[in-house]
Amino acid sequence: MNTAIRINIAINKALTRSLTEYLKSLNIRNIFVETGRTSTLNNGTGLFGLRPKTPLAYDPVEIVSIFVHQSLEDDLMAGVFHTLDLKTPGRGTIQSSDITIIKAHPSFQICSQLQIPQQIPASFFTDLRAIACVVQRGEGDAVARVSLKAGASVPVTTYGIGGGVRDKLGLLRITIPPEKEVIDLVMSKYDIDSVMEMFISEAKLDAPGRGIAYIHPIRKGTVNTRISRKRAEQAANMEQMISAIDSIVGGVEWRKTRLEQENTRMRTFLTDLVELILVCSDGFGKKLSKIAMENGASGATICKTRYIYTSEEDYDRNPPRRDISKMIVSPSAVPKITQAIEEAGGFEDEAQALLYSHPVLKAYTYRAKEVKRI
Amino acid sequence: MKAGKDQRVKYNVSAKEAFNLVLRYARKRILEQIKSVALIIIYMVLFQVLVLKIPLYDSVLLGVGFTMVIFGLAFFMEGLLLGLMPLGEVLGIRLPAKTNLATILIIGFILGVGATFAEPAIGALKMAGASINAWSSPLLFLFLNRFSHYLVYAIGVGVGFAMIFGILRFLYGWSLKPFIYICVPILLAISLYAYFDPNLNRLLGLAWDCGAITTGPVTVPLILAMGLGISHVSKRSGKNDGSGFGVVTLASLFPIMAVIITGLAVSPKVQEPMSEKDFFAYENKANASFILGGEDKLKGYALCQTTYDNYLPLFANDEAQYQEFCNSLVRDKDKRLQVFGSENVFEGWLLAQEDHDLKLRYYGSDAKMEQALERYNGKGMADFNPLDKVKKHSRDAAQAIIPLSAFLILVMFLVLRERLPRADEIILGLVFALLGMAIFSGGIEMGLAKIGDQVGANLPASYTRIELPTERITIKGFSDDLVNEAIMPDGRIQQFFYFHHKDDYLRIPYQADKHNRELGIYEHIPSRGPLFGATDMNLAGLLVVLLFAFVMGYGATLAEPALNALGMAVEDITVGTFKKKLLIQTVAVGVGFGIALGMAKIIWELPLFWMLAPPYLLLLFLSAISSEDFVNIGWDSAGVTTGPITVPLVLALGLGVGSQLGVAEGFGILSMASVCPIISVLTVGLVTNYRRKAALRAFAREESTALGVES
Repeated sequence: MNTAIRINIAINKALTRSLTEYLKSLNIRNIFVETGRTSTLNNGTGLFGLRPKTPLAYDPVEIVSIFVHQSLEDDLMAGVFHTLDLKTPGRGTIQSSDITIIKAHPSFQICSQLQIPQQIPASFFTDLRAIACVVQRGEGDAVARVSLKAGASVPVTTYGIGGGVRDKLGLLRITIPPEKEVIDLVMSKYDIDSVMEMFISEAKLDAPGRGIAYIHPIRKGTVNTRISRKRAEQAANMEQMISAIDSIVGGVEWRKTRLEQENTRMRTFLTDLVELILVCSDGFGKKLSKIAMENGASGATICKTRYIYTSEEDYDRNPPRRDISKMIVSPSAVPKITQAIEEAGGFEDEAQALLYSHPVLKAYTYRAKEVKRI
Repeated sequence: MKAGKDQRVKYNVSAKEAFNLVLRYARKRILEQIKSVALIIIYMVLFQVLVLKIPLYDSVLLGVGFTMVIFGLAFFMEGLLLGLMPLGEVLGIRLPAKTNLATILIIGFILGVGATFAEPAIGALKMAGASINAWSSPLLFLFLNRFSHYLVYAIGVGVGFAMIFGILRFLYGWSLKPFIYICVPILLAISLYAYFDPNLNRLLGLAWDCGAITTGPVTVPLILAMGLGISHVSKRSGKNDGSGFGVVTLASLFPIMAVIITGLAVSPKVQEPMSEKDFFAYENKANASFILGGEDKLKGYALCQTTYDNYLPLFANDEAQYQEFCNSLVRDKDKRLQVFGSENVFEGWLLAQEDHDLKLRYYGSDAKMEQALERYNGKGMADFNPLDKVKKHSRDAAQAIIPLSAFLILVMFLVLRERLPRADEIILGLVFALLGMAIFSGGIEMGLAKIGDQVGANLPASYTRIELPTERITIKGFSDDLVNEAIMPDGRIQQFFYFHHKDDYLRIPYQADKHNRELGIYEHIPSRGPLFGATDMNLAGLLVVLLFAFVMGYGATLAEPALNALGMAVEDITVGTFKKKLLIQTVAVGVGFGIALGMAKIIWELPLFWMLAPPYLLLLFLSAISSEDFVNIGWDSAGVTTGPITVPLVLALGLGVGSQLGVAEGFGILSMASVCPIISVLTVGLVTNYRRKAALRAFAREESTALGVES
């Protein structure tokens, strides 16, 4: 077990190539890319009225994840920030968070000694939190709209396949669609509780089988404030002013009062949990998640991710596609799960698993009074 | 969180809970299908009843048919998603890892050819060419009849090669654009050459329609899923944004080429188009026999299709020889089958003969002959046997699904030596697909195709006067005393009579041939039209037809299962940035335009080549400036649009209007319906990409000029 920094860069798809080329030029290995979309409020009319009547516009984004030693965090983030001009809202965001690498296939290395050209330091917000919300496929837009209308920030949506109760139903499982949507939102930590509450009520997470929402800490990073595609009528639009003031005051705390606390209901949140993330070769995600679930994980969301080749020899050794399985577990269950995955050969050459954990501040999902039979 | 429980045990679900789960699941699927077919059904019914003002015929049967379409589609879609697509995808993922390139390509080729044999849409093509005759389009006639198996082979080989190149593309990350840049100009060039050859010219419509028709509701999802699987594990496909799509495009382009090339190869052996008389002339006997497949067949065809004067040369202009031939037919069963193909056709011919003795010799007695006549006339009318239909459609569905999936499962066992993952789910899916296909194709025949036929036959009423045989009224006790006379401006006399019907006194033109004086019966067939505009073939009425065609194409496309499957795959691959709904709407508008253009082709008899060349040239340009993902999706949607819902409706429409106008063939509408959606999808893609880029740029510009705050 050792700690590391995970840097997530959610970037407009058109810019992915320049980002990965930059990372390759720094000799960074083990780059993973997930495909997703950002939703922004759209006030356009649509082509011939052909566009479905939704006030959302979608942009393809890709979430590039890299793992580095803490000593490299500042320079690397500043480098990416300047190289890709992330100062301009809408191009992409970058955040770093603490993770603990539990176990990994030997091919996985944390980059610790890199030559990164000296950068002008970029100032990042440090008062951020991330909220993730897993819902049924098709319900993601409603959740995304809530965060946009609240003016929080722009959410990133990815697709995944859920596992859990469904797999224990026999053939009846076909009646429950496994497709999920994962909405990730990075925003001010001062407002995140109210947004969590909005997510819970919008996605009806207090009903059984609806999904889960959880908050995890962010070390530092930027947020995407471009919540609308509307053209500016003044010299600068609201989003630009917010983003400018954010950078002047060096934080997002000044915006705290914007969202009134409407948290009238008392909810019991789950605490003392970690997000356990398993990255493995394509096709193994389901199998290994099942093993994890047999050993204490209550459910898993499996997403697809792509491995970026950094050298020619990489081509022969590494599978191009990976499954990434996200599970919320109690820290006490982690050793047992790790051992079970190891026994199943997860860390050997074929599956090439990487298992790391990530603290969760609080989580919310439906809990039955007793273990409920479906 | 139920952490820590041992959850290997299966959950026990009570019967009631299970029932509720299934009910909720089924309701959702059925509601989805109701939404997707509602427009086309309501539209067709309302158009017939409210616009053409012609009552529905067989409305109970139609209702049953519509219900079957909805349930069948729900089953079929679920079968695709649970069975066929996962099967294709698993194979696509596993094959590259477990076998060598040659094996993958061979399996792909077999799959392509097999899919064509399994889903022979050739029936639809034969229907479109039903009124083609041997003398005016010999080559086309040959391909639709005696050489129709060559047509299927050509298409099969085309689809097989499409699979090979499609797989190579995925494995090596090739772009689709070069394939388009090479194939389309070649196709247009051979089409231009064929356009100037009288025989090949008539084959063009068939060839281009083949491209649209080959990819059916089973083939498309299967090869789509397999492509997605292969490109998913391909190390080089990451370079390429359109990964997973594009095989359907090739499977539409290659068969067109294959059919035209086969046509080029056969055409030297086939005579030029000629007049009916020359065709049956004694000197032409060898050529004509080649087309019909033998002298006996030629005689049979001549007896049924042409007049005494025309077919006499076949009997060396010798009446005795003709008589002898007729007598031999009556005597010899084998001969009859040889000449006519079936006893039914023979009886049809015999009963139409004037020669009473000949008929008597075959039937034995007058009574039997009367019976046969009745039976034969009855056959012309709706002969509906539900059980036969169920059998036929179950057989077709089994033929389309079982061999293909059995082949794939065998490959899984024998080549990959792996067990089927989630076998129970896949098998259930295949059963759903089978059931669904049998039910919905039955429903289409009873419901959608029926109403399509009715509307298609009645549609000319919007621009001309047509008779409505379904509303025939037999007036008993009719006598000549009832007939009145009226004078016209030019002095001609016209006869009419008064008729009291439904509280109305109608003046009806008297037609002597409808008056049976012996029985005192007058057969009154009401007529209607032109509903729009006053004159025959007026523009207003024709525009109504085009508008109707547009909405029908649009509505039918919304219900197409293969497009639905493509939409889901697209939404999944683009993580919701290109929604299924947007794709289906865009394609539907394209198909609507295509079908309207196709109708225009039929109405004004425009040459197909000049209808196809401009859109394809435009497409070359649009493809060059579009991004790879939209090029793949756009061109693929062309192949999937024309499926089981659209084709029968389009054919009914084409035949209805075409036969009223005396146009020989209904080809070309489908190929128009497949080129237009590519244009619409690429346009939407360009606009979407432009907006995304513009938004990004505009924001960057505003940002740098407006505030200029350094972080």
